[in-house]
Amino acid sequence: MSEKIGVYVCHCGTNIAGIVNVEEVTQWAGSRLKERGVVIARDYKFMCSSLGQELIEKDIKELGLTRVVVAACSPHLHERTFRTACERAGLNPYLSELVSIREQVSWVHTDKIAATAKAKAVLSGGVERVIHNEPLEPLKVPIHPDSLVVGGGIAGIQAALELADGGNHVYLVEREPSIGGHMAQFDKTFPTLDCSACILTPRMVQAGNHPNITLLTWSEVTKVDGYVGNFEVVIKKKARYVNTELCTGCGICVEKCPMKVVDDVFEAGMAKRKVIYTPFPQAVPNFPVLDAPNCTFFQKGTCKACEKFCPTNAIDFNQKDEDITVKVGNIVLATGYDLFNPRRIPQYGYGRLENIITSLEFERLCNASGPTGGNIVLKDGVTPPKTVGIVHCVGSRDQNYNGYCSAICCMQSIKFAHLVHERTGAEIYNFYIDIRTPGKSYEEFYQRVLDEGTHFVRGKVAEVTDVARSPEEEGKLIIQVEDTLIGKQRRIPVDMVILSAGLEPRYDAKETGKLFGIACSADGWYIERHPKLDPIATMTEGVYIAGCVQGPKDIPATVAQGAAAAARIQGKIQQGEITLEPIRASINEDQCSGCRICNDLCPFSAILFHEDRAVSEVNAALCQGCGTCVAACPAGAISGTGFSNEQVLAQIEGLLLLNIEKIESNKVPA
Amino acid sequence: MKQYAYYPGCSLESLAVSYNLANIEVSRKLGLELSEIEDWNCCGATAYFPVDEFLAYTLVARNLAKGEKMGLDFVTPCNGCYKNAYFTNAYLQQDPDLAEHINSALEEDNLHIEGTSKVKHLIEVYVYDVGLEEISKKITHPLQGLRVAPYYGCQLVRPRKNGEDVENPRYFEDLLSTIGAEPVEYYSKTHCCGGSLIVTNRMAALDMINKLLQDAVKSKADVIATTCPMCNVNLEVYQGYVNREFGTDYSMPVMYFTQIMGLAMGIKPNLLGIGKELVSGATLKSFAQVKESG
Amino acid sequence: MDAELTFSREIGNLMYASHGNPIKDCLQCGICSGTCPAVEFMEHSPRTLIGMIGADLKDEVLASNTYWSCASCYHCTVRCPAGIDIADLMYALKRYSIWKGKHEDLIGPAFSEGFVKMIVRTGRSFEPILAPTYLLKFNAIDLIREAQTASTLILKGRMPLLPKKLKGLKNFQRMVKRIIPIGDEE
Repeated sequence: MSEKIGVYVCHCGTNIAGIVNVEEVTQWAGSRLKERGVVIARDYKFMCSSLGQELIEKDIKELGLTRVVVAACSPHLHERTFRTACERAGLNPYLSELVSIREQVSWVHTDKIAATAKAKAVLSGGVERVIHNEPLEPLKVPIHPDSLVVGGGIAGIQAALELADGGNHVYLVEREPSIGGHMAQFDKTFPTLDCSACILTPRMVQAGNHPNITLLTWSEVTKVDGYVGNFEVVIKKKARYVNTELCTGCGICVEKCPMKVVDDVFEAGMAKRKVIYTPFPQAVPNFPVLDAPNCTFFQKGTCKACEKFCPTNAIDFNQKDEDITVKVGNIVLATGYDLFNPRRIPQYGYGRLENIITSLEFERLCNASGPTGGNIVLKDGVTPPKTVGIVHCVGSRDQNYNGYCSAICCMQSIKFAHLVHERTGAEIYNFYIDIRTPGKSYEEFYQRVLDEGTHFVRGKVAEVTDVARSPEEEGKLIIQVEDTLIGKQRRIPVDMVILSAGLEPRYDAKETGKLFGIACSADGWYIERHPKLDPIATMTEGVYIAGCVQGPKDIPATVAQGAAAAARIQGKIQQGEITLEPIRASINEDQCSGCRICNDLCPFSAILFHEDRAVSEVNAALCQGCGTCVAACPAGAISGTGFSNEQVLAQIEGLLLLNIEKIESNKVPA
Repeated sequence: MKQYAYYPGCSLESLAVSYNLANIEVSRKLGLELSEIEDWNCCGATAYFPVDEFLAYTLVARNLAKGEKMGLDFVTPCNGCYKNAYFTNAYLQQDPDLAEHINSALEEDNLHIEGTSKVKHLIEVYVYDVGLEEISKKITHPLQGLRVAPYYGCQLVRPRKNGEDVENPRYFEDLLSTIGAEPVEYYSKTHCCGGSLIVTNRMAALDMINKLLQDAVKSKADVIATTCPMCNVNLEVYQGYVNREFGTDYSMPVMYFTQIMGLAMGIKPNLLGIGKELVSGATLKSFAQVKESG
Repeated sequence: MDAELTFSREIGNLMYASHGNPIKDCLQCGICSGTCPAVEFMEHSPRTLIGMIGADLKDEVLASNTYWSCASCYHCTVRCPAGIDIADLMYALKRYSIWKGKHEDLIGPAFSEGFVKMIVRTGRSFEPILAPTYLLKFNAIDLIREAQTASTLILKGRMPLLPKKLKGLKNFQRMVKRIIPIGDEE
């Protein structure tokens, strides 16, 4: 044994020492594992402390240690700590191992004798493995200073502006004709009751004009190749049929267009728009878009009114979709959410009965630039409601639809109550299970609306029907619910019902995720690197998520996430290069038979195939070291650096104490 | 002739004898043979579960085992029998311990249940096994202008079996359209008729029946079509009770769906058991006219 | 580990074989009670009853007529956002209350027990046999109406005058005895 191994066993206060006899394990390692190369074995109360680390550094320098094994907590917590300590002392950090005798021993066993024996085995495993460790150098890849932000809602806009203000170039891609996202549809935002457009449009304009932002609306990402720092992205610029070099945004084409269709995106189906249109007056950019499938010219070959009247000849019916390829170093996905479709709850009557609308539809109703000029009226377009029912938790907190809470519907419903109160004299009923008002000034907002006289009925609505059972119910919509606070079933007649529908991932979130190499959870939201400590990063280096794409949240949290993603990226760009963990798979070309089984198995699309030599190669920058290809290769040609077959097998032998004399089984430890 | 193991249920031999007649006639016309299970016992409806769960499953399993022996799909025309049979069958399939327990009792009657049965309600057999297209070929007297309220009742659609739509099923309406009738939008089509509450808590049941009749009148139905003898009895036999209790004056005919189908197929009314109803027959006669002129 | 069997745990155990989630998952949202067509005839709504069970109010739960007013329509079950099979809970409470000898004043227990006894005796249902289980609670006017209805049904051929019996009754009864030790015939 030519290696000189230092063993350090941590007490972790009483976390480990309370169950495992730490001194015994240390003594055992020092004596029994001596022949395996252990030259020093120490135990210490808190190895992760600076004093603990100094122990290691001192031994490396003075004893010339070539390997270090620490038996303490999980590598998830302190692997980096001990690697860095080794590095400081001049030992390659990858020549150290941290084995867990806490999460895997002291925290899961109560039998002290058995736990101590297990700790010895675990330590022995670490020792056997570390012998096979090789010094590794982390990979450094250059970072392209440009970034891509996908999604032009408030999250994407925030991220793009921060990156751009930081002096970096950003591509902001948005699939609708204008940026703004859902926030542009809202009337007022809670709890401040700011006019949504008023606080959003300055940002939109900034983003539209910023010298460092290339705004690509009516565009979609179709291909992503490469890896962190070096992505190559293909963006399809869909044909607007408007030459943006010539268009002045005067709007004459929109005025003259004779065809109207229902706008089920921006106006949520509440109003119509022209076939050539800008989605809303403050659209950025202000260039209209022609909806070809509904256009008379494209369908029948006639009309062309827009072209006739355009003063700058900007209409171009021959325009085609255009693909552009850009190189970026980092990507932020901020594609937002879709609304739960209440048609899935037939007993709420949505889509069957009139005057039952969703939250987004109500936002449009309230909005001054909406279909009714901001007047809250019934379907007839004229009559204001005398009673309004607002239903919380539609499609949320319900195992029959989505089990999660959509975070914003309570505040949104309370906001609606306030708006209805402000603009009509209506009696208002909110139907809730719990009132969730955790944010700043949120509870106060609820109290304000209580003061305004809105009736809050605690009960999940059972049915919304138009079938009257008494004279006062005739001609009304009746909400049937148990008022749980008084324990009575009530039938409350209203004129209008607003359904606070839950938030759902975009209908194509899964496919989009695949494009960028990130995964969705069971609920369909993108998976963050750590739900508590890293909500904006993903398991794929270089791809970040911000806003509702990671889960339902309000605007402050969304903006914070957009900014956080930008900050993270700026940090990377500033360093010029990024360091990647060298725990990677590598393919032995001589053994590779070119069967390509590994190619499709790789969840990170990190394996390329060289046609000329008929062998596969792992792209070390994309590889996350998951080990799938290592296991799958029928020729055994793939090995993990830092996770080689030799290392794993040695660790198993160590765990089974095969390389040392067996401990007598019934020996009671001293 | 496709064969089915037919489980009529107790009421088909008494209160709902016309249902049985209609089922057999219509099935024959559609090329189905309903082979009655030999020496079947009462399924218990909602009366066994309040007393003992295992006994309830055993009593239902006995019939399922007999159906299995015949090697045929198990079909019943009664919502209560259907719900019991379907879920007993499903639970026996999912839970081997339960199956073992029940089988040890069934042994005494030389029976054993494997859980291979497929349990269907008669209306499902018509809509899905026979198919609406085949049915439309047999319609000789489409019931033009007859407004029918399709009353599914509760235990036909609930509990959920396969994630299907339990709030707004449409297959009964489709069947009624196929036979030329006009299905109305019946709000309470899956609401409960009260079931055995008509005995154990009469006021509650009458209140529920009142709402069902009220909604049928509101949707301007000429007749309520039922798929269950209990529903039919509650709506029809007790209609007079509802009138007395609530001061209403309903005279809404209530017929079994196979009786209505039978009329559309040109089968004579008396063969369908028409004439045994308690609710005024005058409107029934007008069906017959519709049939003739159709 | 709590050695004492609280009422809520007792009921939870009764529900063990149920095919829904445990009742401790209840959010108290009230959709069951908002849906229930018979709730006006119950002393406590289904939601309240579940709350009472969770609070170990054994006597109050056993005194409540809620579950004996349940029609087993399963509407609550399919709408419950916590996936609890509430209708099955009602059946479980019915069984429990019969076991504890409660609700002598209600028709439900006598009717169900009478029904089961009838089936054990003959294998088939025959309405007239069940009459004593509920008619005794009716007043004179209701009795007369019942008689009228019955005679009309008889005239229409919808009420047989004699009960039916299974052919294989002996085996049937042996089968029943394997499950539940019902004594010899009265």
